[in-house]
Order: sequence, then structure tokens, then C-alpha cells
Amino acid sequence: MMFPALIAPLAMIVVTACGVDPVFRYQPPNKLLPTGRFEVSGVATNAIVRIRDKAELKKILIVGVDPSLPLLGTHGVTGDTLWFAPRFPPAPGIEHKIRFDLAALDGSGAKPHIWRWIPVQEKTPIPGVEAVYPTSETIPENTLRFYIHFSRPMKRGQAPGRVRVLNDQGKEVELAFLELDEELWDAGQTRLTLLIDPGRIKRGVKPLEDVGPVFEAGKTYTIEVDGAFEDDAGKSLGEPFRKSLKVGPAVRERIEPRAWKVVAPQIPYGVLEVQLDRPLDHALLMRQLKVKTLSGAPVEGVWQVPPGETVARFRPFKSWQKGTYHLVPGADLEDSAGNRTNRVFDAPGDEKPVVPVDHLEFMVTGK
Amino acid sequence: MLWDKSLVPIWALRAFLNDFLAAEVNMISWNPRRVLRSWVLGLALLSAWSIAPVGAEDLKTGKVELQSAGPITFGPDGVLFLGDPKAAKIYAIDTADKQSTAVTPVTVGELDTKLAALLGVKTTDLVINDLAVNPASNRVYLSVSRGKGPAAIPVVFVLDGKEGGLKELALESVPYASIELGNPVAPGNKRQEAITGIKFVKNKIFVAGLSNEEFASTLRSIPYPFTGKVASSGIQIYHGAHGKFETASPVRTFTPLDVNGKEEILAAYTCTPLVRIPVSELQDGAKVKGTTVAELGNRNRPLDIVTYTKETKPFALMANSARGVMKVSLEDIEKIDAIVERIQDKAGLKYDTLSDLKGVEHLDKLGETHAVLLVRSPKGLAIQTILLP
Repeated sequence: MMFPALIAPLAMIVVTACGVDPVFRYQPPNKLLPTGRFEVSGVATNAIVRIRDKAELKKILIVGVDPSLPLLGTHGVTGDTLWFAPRFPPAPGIEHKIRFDLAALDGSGAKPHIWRWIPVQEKTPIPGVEAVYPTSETIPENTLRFYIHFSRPMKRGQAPGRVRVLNDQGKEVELAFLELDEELWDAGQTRLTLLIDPGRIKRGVKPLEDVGPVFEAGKTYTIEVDGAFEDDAGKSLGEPFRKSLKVGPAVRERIEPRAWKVVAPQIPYGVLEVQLDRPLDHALLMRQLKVKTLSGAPVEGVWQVPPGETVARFRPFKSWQKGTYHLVPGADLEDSAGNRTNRVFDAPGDEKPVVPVDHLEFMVTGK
Repeated sequence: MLWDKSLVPIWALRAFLNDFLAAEVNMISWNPRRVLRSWVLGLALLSAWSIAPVGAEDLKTGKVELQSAGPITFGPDGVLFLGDPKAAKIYAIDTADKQSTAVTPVTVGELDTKLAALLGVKTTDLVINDLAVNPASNRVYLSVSRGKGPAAIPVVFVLDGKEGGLKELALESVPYASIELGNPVAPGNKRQEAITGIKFVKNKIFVAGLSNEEFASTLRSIPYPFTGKVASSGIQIYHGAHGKFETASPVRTFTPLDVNGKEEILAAYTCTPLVRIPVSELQDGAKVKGTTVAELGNRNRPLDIVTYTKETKPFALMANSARGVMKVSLEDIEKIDAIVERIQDKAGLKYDTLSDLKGVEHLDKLGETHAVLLVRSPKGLAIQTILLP
């Protein structure tokens, strides 16, 4: 009866005596190991007992992606396994070199074992540009802001070299976009905000006089996103994306909600349609227009802005009731040139501040 | 000597109440020792509850869970201020790095290769967002992103040792405090504010921000220790032209400035004028007029700025994208007439260009005599130290 119990230790003695090679595997992340673990098991007991401290462990088991320095992480020993838990989850697609060298312990002639392992990279689709706002073919000369929507999360830090404005000769317009250390992405990094240097728009400022404006009325331009623009998986667009633009005269007027046409919805779930006085900023239209009841209670729902950005449509979550409602434009609502309801973007100093209209009324009727 | 509320034991409170109330309410005959004891306890309690702890004592130990690592700067006693734009928060973290070390010029070659090796990524997949020197210890800190996608992991490194050994700043259990900047990113909402700079002076931090939607450039003044108060301002500045002034130009970089005892901010704007802004006017919602004191030329992006004194004269050292590093004289800055007329290149404060210092992306002072630079060359990123010119 004792016989089976003796087999395991006897087997171990036989195995270590014969010097079977240690085995490497990467233990994927789990609850206890959030970054996974590099494990070398089957290490001879007589070797393990000779390891005195962490410092020696670090010399025996070295995991790295570059010969200059090993990865940040912690080492340990469990049973016959030497392990290394990296500080961060191993980056996909990068070759990791795992070096196990007992000779580091005692200078013995033992040969090092070297394994190479590349974490699997998930297959992702080729990224593309879904939309560029403002969508209209003709934009005002003093356009301040563009949004580029991508189909996948992209990498930050590449906009300066990889998005450009070309003139009608195909030549790049010098320094068209404002270069910021912190690129203006949304949290998911699928939308990039690009600003034209305000100094090249505002009237009577040095950069406008020295370098000239980015856009000139009457001319055509192209916004080009380079084919090398990469998503977060390192895949590039491939083909460059181009959008042609015609440039019209500058728009230097406040947004006037009183010039909007509000088409009241029908009970119960009719769409409220707001026909704007001019194209407005796409992102701001989605959150700066509020619908309220007469008592001031907000009406929750979803805004939709079709291409052209001259119309905004609202569908409520709960049904409309017959009666009067208010459409309240937010103070931050702008057009793509930065004009607001209370001021023009580059207002002259002597201009008096304007109090814009607080709300527009509309009546919901029903059959 | 400052009292900590938690040190005053409950027994003292009860003993005081017992003695004091008993004497008053029950009209127990006057006992000098009892009266004395009750008054001593009373005063002790009063002092414990009225003297507020300051500085590092306000920080609570816990895990700092950064969503992103943006600009960094230091306060007193090794307190690191870090901007987390994804969380729309500023953190104040006690690094416990208060041991002063001698100002030693530090050089680290192939910094991006070393950081990439430690982090396990390619050099093209890491970003050094900022560099700051801890004046308490003269050590260099780096705010780094591991990765460039939306799931990039923020990491803070400190240069440890003469050979430029890089050590991660552990944030698992540190004394810290945080403050929200307002308008946090809401789910489904794409609006986010970029934090373009943070600086500390005396008892507050200044934070410059820029929205990714409405054209809003803010300069906020936040008292430290954090009280929950945040004052925001939109700044009107004079450009070098005909008395016209405009609003909300994005601040590129800025530094605190003392002009004849008055607290000011010296800021570099996107249209590259250098502007003075009085701090006293940075109230909530106020539109503050800044004064342009220099036009530094166009086609140029100011990246970082510090002030220093050389041979009793005040200067600013500024890193730029196109013009190397500039040494700007701040002498008699208060006497410079606000630049309102149309002017030629190089108006206002005088400056020199150190054109051999190219590719400087970030800089900070090291002591009062040196500056540490983060330099990009075709070979990669490196840290260099120079004598302040």
C-alpha cells in the first residue's frame, strides 16, 4: 500500500538525477495574477535550495524585451517553479526573451536555457476615417475646428505629422493645425479635435500678418489624413483619407436662436426638429441643446444631427404631453468658427457684451 | 506644535464634560482642583479642535489609481502634483522623497530605450508627458504613458542614482489627496479637457486647461491643501495689434512670477506672445486682462518655461519647438508698456537664443544653478543638465 506513495518521490529523484530540462510557460492573467506570470518549472531541487535571496533569483531568471534592461516585475519560487510576475501585462506582438541560467548561481558550466515568446496579438480590422466635421462641402474662411471620427481607437501623438491641409496645388499649408503636447482626443480615442491656430484667424494679430491665414475665401483645399496613421493595435489606415473643401466668406456673427425654426413634435413620441440659422458645431449640438418643461424640469432624450449640421432632431425617452416646452441653447454652443450666442469669436475690444435669448418656446399638440 | 484631532482621547472629553457640567448643573461645591482640571481639559480640547493641520498631514494613505499621467510639478516637502486629464483630477502625492541631495548634473542617454525595456514596449509606444525636479531632494521625476492607445497605462518614474537608474514611483499605498477640476468626462460624453500645465506657488496650484469641444482655455487657481475650491478664469490678452483684444487663447506653458512683491503668472500663448497675468485677478468666472510683454516670433511653439536669477538679474528660460532654448531677460518687466501697437518681430523683453540646444521638449530647474532638459535627437530621448545661462 505504501508502494504508490513512494513512486512520486522516487520519480523526482530519478528525474533530477537524470537532469531533465526545465519547462517554460506563460501563465495567463487571472484574479490572483492580474498580469500573468512567466514560469520555469521542473527546476532541480538541489538548485532551488542553493538560491539564497531575491537578488540571486533575479540573476537566474531574466525576462526582457530589450537586452539593455529586464522587465519591471517581481520574482519568486513555488515548489520546483521559478517565476516572474511582470509589472504590466505583456504587450502583444513583442518578442519576450526568457533566460534561465543556473550558472549565474555558482559559475558552474550549466548551459543557459533561452525561450522566446510573443504574446498573441488579437486580429483587428483595418481602421478607417468615418467622418470629418464640419461635413459641408463649403466652409467659412475662419473655420476654427474640425473633428475627425475614426472607426477604431487610434494612437495619440501622431497628428502633427500625419494630418495636413493641402492647397489647390497639392502643396501643404504650413502649420495649419495647432500642435499641442496633449492632443485633443475623446476618452475612447476615436475622435480627434483639430484646431486651426487662432492667431491665424483673429483679425489684426501677428501670426495672421506674418504667416497668413490657413484658408482663403474662394479657394479649394484638401484635408488629408496620412495612410500611416495608426490605430492602437499598430495597424495603419493604408490608404490616405482625403476630404475636399471649398472655402467661402468668413462668418463673424453671433448665433441667433431667434432665427431658428422649431418644428414642434406630435404626441406621443414625435421628433422635435430644430432648423438652425447656419451650420453649427456637431459635438456641441449633441449636448448643448436642452429641452425643458414649463416648470424647468429637463426632458431626457436623444439628439441626432444629420450631415450638414443645419438641423438637429430630438426624440424623447418618455412621451410628450400636450402643452408648452422650452428649447434652451447652452452657453457653450458654437459654430465651427467659434462664434457663440453671446459673442463673435474674435470680438473687437469695444464690443458690448450681449445677453442672448434664454429659450425658444414650442407647443406640443396632438390629435 | 500642531494637534491632531485623533490624539485627543475620549476619556479626556468625558472627564471634562463630567467635571464642568457637574460643577455647573449640579451646583456641586466649588473644588479648586476639579475646576482647574476641567479648565485645563477644556483648553486642550479647544486647541485640538481649532488648530487645523496643514501640508502633508492632510493627505490620507491609500492607492492612487491614475487613469492617465499628464503634467507634473512639485510643491513643498516632496509633494508631487500630477494632472490626470482622463479623470479630470489633480493629485497631490507625498513621495516621501525629502532627503536633500547635492545638486548633481544628471545625464541619461537612450532614455526611451531604457524606459521601453523596463515597461516591455517598443520605444514608439511610450510617451514622456512631463519632467519635473523635486526641489526637496533634487531628484528628477518623469510622467510617462506606457502605450499610446486609450488603454495606455500611466507610470511615474524617478531617476535614482548617478547612473540615472530609473525607478517606478510606487502608488499602491501613499499619502495623497485629489481634487476634481469640474466637468469630469461622463460616459457617452466625448468632451474632455486637456491639462496643459500645472505649477505650484506658495499655497496654491495653477492649472491650465483646454477643452476638446467648445473653444475654452482656462487658467484655474486651486488652494493647496485642497479645500474643494477651484477658481476658474477666462483670460483676455492683448495681442500685438491695434488695441484689439481677444478671449480664450490656449496657454502653452506658464510659470509663476514675482513682480515687486505681487504674484503674477508669466505665460506663453499660442500666438507666441509672452504675457503677464496678475494672480489677484484670477477669480471664479472672471475675464482677466493679461499684458503682452514680448512678441517672440511666429512659426514657433513654446514648450516649457522656468524663471531664475543670474548675478542678481531675473531671467526666464524657455524651450521652443523651432528656436532652440531662449533666455529672456525679465529685468524691469513692470516697465514694459503693454504691447498694443502693431509691431515688428522681437518687441518687448530682450532675449537670446541658445540655438545649439535643439530638440528640447521639457525642462525644469535643478537647484538654483542648473536646468535639466529632456532632449530629442535622431538617436532618441536623453536627459541633459546645463548650467543656467
